[in-house]
Amino acid sequence: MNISPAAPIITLFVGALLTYLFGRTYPKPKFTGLFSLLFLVIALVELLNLYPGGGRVTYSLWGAQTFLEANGLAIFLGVVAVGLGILVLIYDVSHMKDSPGLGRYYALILLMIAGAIGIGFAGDLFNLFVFFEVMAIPSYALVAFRKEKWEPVEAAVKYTIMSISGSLLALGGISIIFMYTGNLDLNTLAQSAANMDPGMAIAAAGLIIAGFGVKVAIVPLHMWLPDAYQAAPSGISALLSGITSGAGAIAMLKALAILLPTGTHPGVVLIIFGIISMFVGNFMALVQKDLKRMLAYSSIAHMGYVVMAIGLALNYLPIAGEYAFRGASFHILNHAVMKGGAFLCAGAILQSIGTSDLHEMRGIGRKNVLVGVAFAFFALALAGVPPLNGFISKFFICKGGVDAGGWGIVAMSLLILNSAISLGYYLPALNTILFSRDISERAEKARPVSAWICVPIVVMVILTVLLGVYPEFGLKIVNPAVQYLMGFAGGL
Amino acid sequence: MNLWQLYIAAIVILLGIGIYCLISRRNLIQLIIGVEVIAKAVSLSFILAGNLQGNEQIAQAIVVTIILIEAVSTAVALSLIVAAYRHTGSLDINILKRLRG
Amino acid sequence: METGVLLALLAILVPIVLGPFTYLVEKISAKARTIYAVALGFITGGLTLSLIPYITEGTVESFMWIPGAGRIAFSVCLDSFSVVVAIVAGVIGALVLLFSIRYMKPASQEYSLSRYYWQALLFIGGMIGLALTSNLLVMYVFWEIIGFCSYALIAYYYHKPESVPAGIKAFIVTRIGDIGLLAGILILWHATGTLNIFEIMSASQAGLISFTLLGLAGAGFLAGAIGKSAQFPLHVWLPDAMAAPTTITALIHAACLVNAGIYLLVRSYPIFAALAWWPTALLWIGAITALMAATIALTQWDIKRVLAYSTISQLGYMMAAIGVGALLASQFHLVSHAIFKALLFLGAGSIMCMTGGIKDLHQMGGLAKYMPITRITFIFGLLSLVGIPIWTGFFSKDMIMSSLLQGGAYIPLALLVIATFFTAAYSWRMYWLAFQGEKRTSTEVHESPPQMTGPLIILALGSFLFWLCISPYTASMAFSLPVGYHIMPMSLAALIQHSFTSPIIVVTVAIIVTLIVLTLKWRATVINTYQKPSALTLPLFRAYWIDIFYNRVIVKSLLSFCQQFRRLQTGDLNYNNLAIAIGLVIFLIMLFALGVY
Repeated sequence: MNISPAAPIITLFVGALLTYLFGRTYPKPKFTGLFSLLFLVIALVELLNLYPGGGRVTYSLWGAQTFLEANGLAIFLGVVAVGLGILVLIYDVSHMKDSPGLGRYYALILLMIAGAIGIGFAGDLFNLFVFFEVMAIPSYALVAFRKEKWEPVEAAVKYTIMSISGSLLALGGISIIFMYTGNLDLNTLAQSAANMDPGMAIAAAGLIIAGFGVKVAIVPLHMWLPDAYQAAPSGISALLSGITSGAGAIAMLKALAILLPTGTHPGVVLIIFGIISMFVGNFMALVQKDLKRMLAYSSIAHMGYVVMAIGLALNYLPIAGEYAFRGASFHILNHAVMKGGAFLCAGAILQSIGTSDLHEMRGIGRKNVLVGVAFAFFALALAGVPPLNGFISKFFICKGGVDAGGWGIVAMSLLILNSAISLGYYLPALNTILFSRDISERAEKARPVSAWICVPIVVMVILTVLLGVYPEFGLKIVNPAVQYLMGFAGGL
Repeated sequence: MNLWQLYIAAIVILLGIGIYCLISRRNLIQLIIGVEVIAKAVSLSFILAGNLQGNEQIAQAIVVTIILIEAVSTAVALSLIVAAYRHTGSLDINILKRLRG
Repeated sequence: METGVLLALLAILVPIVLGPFTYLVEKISAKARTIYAVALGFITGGLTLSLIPYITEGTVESFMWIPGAGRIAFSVCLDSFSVVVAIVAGVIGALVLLFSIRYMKPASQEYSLSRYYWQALLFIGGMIGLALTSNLLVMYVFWEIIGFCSYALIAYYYHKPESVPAGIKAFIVTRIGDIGLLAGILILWHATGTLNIFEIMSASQAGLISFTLLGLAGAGFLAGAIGKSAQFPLHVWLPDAMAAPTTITALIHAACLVNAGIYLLVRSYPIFAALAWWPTALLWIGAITALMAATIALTQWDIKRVLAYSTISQLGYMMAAIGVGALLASQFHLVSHAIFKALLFLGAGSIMCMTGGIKDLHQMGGLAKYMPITRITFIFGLLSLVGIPIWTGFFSKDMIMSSLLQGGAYIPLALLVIATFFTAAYSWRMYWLAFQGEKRTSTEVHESPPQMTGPLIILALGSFLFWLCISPYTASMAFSLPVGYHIMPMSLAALIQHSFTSPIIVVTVAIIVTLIVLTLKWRATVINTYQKPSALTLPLFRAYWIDIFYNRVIVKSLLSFCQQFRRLQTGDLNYNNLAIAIGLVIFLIMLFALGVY
């Protein structure tokens, strides 16, 4: 079947509209969720039909030509986003069932996923920015979805202001590129950018790193993240950590890669700040008392791994690019699975005991065995214990570091060190949940977990193990992305 | 002095004002205004770019889209501010400090 | 596929894949589950033994694991080194599982025994996998699997306050060493383009790896082995790991997991032998650890902690042996130590099980009368540990000592000789306190049932007789190493002649100490130790404050730093925006600086 690269995005846009209308006219929460799920499944089928890439669609936006391009990277990001989206929607059928206005909720989720897919598909910088905003704006509203509570609103206000100013900075960077090249098409931009004024290229690179870096949560720009992840509904936390930060990293990569021929060195900055991010994320996570906040800080650390890998790839492209890109892409996929799963577990626990305070979770894993055991898998995978999936992607990133040689080896060693440090909070959390000495009062009275919640968690556990024991399964969609990136960043 | 240098100066000044506003103002509405000022700086920069490159069509399309996106995100931000006001009864961001550490 | 490879794969997969089904079998009955688990253990042990006829050189067969990235293969290698370690894991694993039937019965009230059996089986499979593969990445995967099992089983009695922290500590400390190992593996992969240890060996011998990279990788492997084999300065996890069920201690912390580091170093010795400092570092770390741990063992009161420090000390001997290139001696001692230390731990387990969980030597005493079989087998283990001829430990230790002498490493040799002295001293002290003297506990004590004494007797015979197998053992080992590192086959007569004609330091020291102890009856000094440790013994009693240093200084300051660091997350939006602005400025400055230079 031959379908247009725009099909998955259009499907989701239409789906968002219809879901919203459906939710208003037929206010039965369960069916709204399942109705929106339908569109995600269609989008997934369309994406798999587009595999392994090729095809480009041009359309005009107020007179400007823009492109959508189906390539390995786009399909990779799309599959990750839609796949995680499907699991989260199944989960939310039960998790969100008591909230009003679910039509809006699901419609926003579909929009957000459409934006994430669009970041992959965007063939020019302007489109990239538009889809970046399409992804970002719904997420502001989603973080504050439970606006009758204080924390979500506070987190959303901080997130919104920081994120908008961040994306405007990135747009400023794009405008500088446009100012010197008059061209935004990613396929030809690098050639036109090659004779850009170096000073201006530096300014553009700095603005782009800082701008997209807010979404990726590179360290000095990360302040919104713990608040937002902690306060958002758990499904949204899973989507934010699994999709938006990964998509943000890919947006940054796409925009930075074209500045390579100008003689700037964004790679070095990314390596250094990636390392800083891992340390800060892990150190802060060590002293957290709230499970969701702890996972949020660990997301910063994990995005630090990805950012470092991207930096290695950009800076040492011919020698280290392949494994660094592979590690980064594979880690985005794995992070979506394992951190998404961990957030879903945290949400399930929160729902059954009414708090995400780690101390109150003592022994909950012995009451809700499935959630507890699943959390153990995710925590170990996040800590990079083989043969679970987190290890394999970190291993590839490290291979990229070694291939780069010199400082790359130092960077890689620091990554492994951080992996060891992260055990310092994953293991205590795991032991609190499963092997505490006593069972807390709340856990004693915990409500059972519905099947809608169990199914996605079990699927994610299976994926966690499968991607680790048989990485080829994930490399099937990662490798085309790597090929595309090598060609994109290197062949220009 | 060229006209475009004036433009650049305007962009930089607007950007500076916006960032300063984001750092120093404690009122939520003022923060939104700061964000808007940055948005205007970026729009101006695109207009200048289109003019310099003789590619005004794209620049115009981009600026229109930026305005659209800005409108939507400002609407969302304002609705959040309303929600925050319902909780706190004030627009001061000093009160929004429950989540930290 | 060759039969040998098939058997090897089965030996790895049977316990790993079928292990989790203990949870299902438990649904039928608890008894069926136990029988199922023990049967799996024995099948695995049998499978490892059935590998003996298939010992060949080098990699036997490879299966593609990750073709999409670097064509990483799961390769099975059946040579004498790997098969012997696999057999140790399989057979001692089976015996330990048999022993567990009775030993773990009291725990079933509070804890899930399915979890116990599943993790023990996973460990056995992981250890066999670690031994039998020649791909470094696969080896690392198994390396971490056994590390995980060790953590999970140490934390097994989670209602006890010390268990969970000890488990976490074990995992984190060994993982600090693993940082080096993983980095080393990656560097070797980068330098040679392969993960197969034999191909890396030939590349290294051909001088294809630059000395910088080789040095880094060597340091990394060393760190990994130090962590796993509990050598100074990463030995601190092993004494705490005694919170595990004693059966698990016997299996993991005496016979298998701690040997993984030694095994890794022996395997990779030809890769790094070209580095001058590498063997020397091993030699010194081993010798220092051996002496340090032996002195600490002298003052401990928990019988399991005495044995734990003894294990650290004995691993130091093996490390030192590798340091002078005596790979055979180190492997020989590895096997003999695995047997006698598993025996000693199971003996301690037998005592604990029958006295209702007493591990404090203060409260033991006079058990000889009540537990004759445990006592005799315990003595066999001690005789082997101390190195009295003609127990296996004598031959293996003597081989290490004489190779150090031949290698001209006189100061490390002296350290080891002193350590031998202390070994004899703490061994007999422990024996005396536990079995002789008057009975100090009020519990009713009687001999353990046959499921427990059976494994004890088998292991006691092993520790007594294993040296008789030296000839086939060395013959099979002869050509498992590349050119230049061949181990010469050794006949039994040669072994006896060698051991009794070389300056028999071990024997002399050990016998003298033993005699002294026996004549003085150790009483006056030992039983009076209810008093506080003196100025002389306090450092030993506190294990030289190393552990305390790590806790108070490193961990505590790290955590307080993190607490301080938390303040940076003020929750103030202006401040957050300022951070963005600062970030932007830093990025621009860095990019500018990089662009200029």
